[in-house]
Amino acid sequence: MNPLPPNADDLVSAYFDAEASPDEIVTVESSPELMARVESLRALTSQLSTPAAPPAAQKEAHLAAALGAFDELFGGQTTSEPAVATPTVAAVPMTSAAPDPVVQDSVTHPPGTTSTVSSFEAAQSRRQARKPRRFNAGIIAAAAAALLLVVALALVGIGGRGGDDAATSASDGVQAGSAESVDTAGDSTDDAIDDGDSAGSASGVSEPDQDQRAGAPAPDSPAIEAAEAAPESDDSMSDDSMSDDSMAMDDEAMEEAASDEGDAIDEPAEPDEAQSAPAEDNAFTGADLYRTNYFLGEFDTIADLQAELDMLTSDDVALRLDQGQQLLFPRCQEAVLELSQSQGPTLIAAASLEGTDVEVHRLLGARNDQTTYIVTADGCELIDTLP
Amino acid sequence: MEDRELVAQAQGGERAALDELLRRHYDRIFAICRRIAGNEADAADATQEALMAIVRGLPKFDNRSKFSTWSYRVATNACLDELRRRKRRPTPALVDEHEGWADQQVDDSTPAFDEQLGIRDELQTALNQLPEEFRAPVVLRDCGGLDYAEIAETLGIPPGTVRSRIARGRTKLAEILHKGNHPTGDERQNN
Repeated sequence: MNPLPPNADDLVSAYFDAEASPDEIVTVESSPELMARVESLRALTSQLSTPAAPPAAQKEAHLAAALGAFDELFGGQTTSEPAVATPTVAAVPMTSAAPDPVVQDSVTHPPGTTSTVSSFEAAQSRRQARKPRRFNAGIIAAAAAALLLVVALALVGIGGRGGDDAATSASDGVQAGSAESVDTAGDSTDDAIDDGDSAGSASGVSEPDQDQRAGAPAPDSPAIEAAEAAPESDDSMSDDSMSDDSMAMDDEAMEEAASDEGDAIDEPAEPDEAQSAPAEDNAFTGADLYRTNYFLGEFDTIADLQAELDMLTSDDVALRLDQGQQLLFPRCQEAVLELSQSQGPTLIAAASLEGTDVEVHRLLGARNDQTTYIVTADGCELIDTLP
Repeated sequence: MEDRELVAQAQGGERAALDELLRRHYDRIFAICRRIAGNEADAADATQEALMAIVRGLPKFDNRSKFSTWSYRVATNACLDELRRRKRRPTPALVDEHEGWADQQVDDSTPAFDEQLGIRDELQTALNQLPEEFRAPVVLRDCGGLDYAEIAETLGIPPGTVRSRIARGRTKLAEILHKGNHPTGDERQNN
């Protein structure tokens, strides 16, 4: 009889879970003793896998509370079925958790009391509708540049032709074309934003890929998707609006204008754009965050923001904290007393909460407990803490 | 109806679909919380937190993982958060994770929480003697059915560490059950 390998327990456990390598499988299956251990393990795990039946009343109360939160999230329900059992959230023992605004709201608005039919897509559209303010400034600037370019080209054309009739004709054409240019550009911006929303709505709560597990930035994380939404608008611009044959611009002018617009969208915080919308850029002291993966998006409630934060993996948070050391905004960490006592960086995200730009900091306690601080980006005032 | 269809309907605002989805997975979610949290009260709190997190996260769920896997992951995080909150005050049935777990035992003079409730679950009591870092992966594997990669992602540790912790956790669990859950004073002195 062969002696058992020193890692017998590890081999047996991995074999039982179908996580052993081919060599390990051979090792286990060739040893009657190891196979006997596998059977012992099977008996142990069968006990663990048998779920304990939860108390029925507790189950109903929990489900009712969750459905209440769902109703609050949607503002109503689309089914005609009556709400399931309606014990209030207050009936559910919550002995330790911090008050959840969603839960509290669900107490004051029982399921079924609202008639508005909504959807997540609609809610997201409403949320995202305010998002492109920064891009709107760029679009307006680009459209203005395009208009000036068209006017200049038209004037050159007028000078070349020299006739009053020709000048009138060209001028009419320019006016019609330029007006259409602005309108179309605006439409395409909306399209681009919609595209961004679609990408954002499919963001990854789901299985991370190998890169994520290795600690690399998650390509499908909400933050990165938000950042990636901007370049998409460039494609939308060139494909949709700038290919319109009815515009009174020659090809060269059109390409140049499209190039200008594309640049404006790709680099929303370039100095020339900042001059066109100084209030927008100066309002958020951590404006750089908007161009990084730190920006999570715009949220109507703290619960929404918390849900997004819940989706960050521990690797993602660790990566953000690491990156935070190299960035330039420790201001709020220094300004908030609790955060200032941290030995390491605390910033994990930026967001817009009810129209206010905020920074999200996470502080690890002595026993590895975590507290999340939401502070205004302008002034570093503490808005809320999350457990 | 499959989970995927229910998820889609729930994401579209169908309350009944969410109801069905949560009912379908509630027992397993509660079981995970029960096993990790170690007692009914904490498990109840954690389960409710988990359901709320699932509702809040549902709009972003994109079906790239199974709903069950995702919901168990959310539940585990809720449980671990609950445990961390509770660690701020003494919990008789849990051991200090900062000390060696092999020589940790429950103080006989203080009845375990489960005993106070009249619950006789030897397996649970044995589980409670495992530190969190061993208990959570074992529960996620044997109770939640997650694979090593999913557990690694959930707990933020490498898959290799998951494998070793599950193996060690199971071995220790078997030893505790074999010896009995409540060692005598002599046994503690020997340890």
